[in-house]
Amino acid sequence: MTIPRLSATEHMILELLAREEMFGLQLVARSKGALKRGTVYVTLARMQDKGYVESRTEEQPAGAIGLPRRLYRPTAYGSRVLEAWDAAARTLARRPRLRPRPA
Amino acid sequence: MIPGRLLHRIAARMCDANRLERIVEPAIADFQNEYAAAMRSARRRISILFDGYVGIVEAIAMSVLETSAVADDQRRALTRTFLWAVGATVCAVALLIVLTVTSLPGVPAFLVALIVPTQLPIALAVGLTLGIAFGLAGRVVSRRTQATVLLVAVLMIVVSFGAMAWSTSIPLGRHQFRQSLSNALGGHVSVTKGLHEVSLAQGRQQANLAPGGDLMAMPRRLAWTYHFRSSIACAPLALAMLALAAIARGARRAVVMSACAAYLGLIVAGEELVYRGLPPFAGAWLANIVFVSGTLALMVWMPPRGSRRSSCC
Repeated sequence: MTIPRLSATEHMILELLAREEMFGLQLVARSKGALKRGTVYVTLARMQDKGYVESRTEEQPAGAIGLPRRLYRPTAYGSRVLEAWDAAARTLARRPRLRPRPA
Repeated sequence: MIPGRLLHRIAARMCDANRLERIVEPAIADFQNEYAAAMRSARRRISILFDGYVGIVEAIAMSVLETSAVADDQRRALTRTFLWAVGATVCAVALLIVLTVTSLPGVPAFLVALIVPTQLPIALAVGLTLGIAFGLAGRVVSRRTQATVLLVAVLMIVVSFGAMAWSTSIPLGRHQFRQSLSNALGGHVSVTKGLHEVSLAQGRQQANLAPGGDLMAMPRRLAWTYHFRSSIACAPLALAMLALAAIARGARRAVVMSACAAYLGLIVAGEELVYRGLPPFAGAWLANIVFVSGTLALMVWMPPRGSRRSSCC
């Protein structure tokens, strides 16, 4: 069994998407500069390949011009991976207290 | 004005359809919407245009770079496949020669050179299959890589078939080996050419001289040999097709190697069945027929790995 990997950027994207379905540019805006608009779409495509997120195209109103936007949301698997990583981070953050050896 | 159209056209030429749809188009769509939403402020629009174009160019560049990284990975896999194929072919030739020579005690070493080409058709097929097993098993193989391997298999067929059927090099080498062996052992008689030792055209002529001019009237062994020469030349393609289809469905290296052993077993079984009443043509082509049918069955009933979509989400 291989343990799924989650980079810091992917973790942030999953955290943001856990709140609501978003467009790529919304993710950039909500990340407060942590995500770049040139790289976010590549990361999202990679996360789709890994099965962490899924996407759908926005329904455009009649007469709309331009390309339809793509909305992203986490998959059930992506949510589980995020939970598992957060749980692992919490566990590792709890350091055992070192006691001095009895003399 | 709808910005981003020119970049979309450029990206369509540089990226594959999948990356265009999943990376470039969402970037352009967000950019166009952002630009449309800021129609009132000229200053804001200029800022959006600049940021948007820079971002999209960056997305296209990253997409192209990632595609070439995938291509690099496939190139490395192909190189490894062909290196393994060459190595395995050399080993297979050596093994076949050792098996031939050990069954004929007292064979002078220089005569071995005469039988090297005669072992090539089967060694090429085995070599390519082992190359596929060691070079491609356990990885995702692109259609382009599969097509390249199949093209090499077709080239091997042309070489094997040309050498075995029309050219005189392999049949001549085989006959010279037997004649030289006879001379070396003190026979000094002219060895009659067997059906393996004439070109296909000459073989057909011999067949026409057989009673009734009918190939099927020849002794079954000779008829099987005649058809087997064409069938073994096609072995690289039959084996490569099955190996690639199996690997695309997650088969391991051992499975591909077992398939190669099964092919050799089917050759022996085909010959045996000819003696028990199977038409010589069917006996000679048995291994190829089974392998091509197996490949088609895999393709029809078992989808390639990764083509099934998860329904849990």
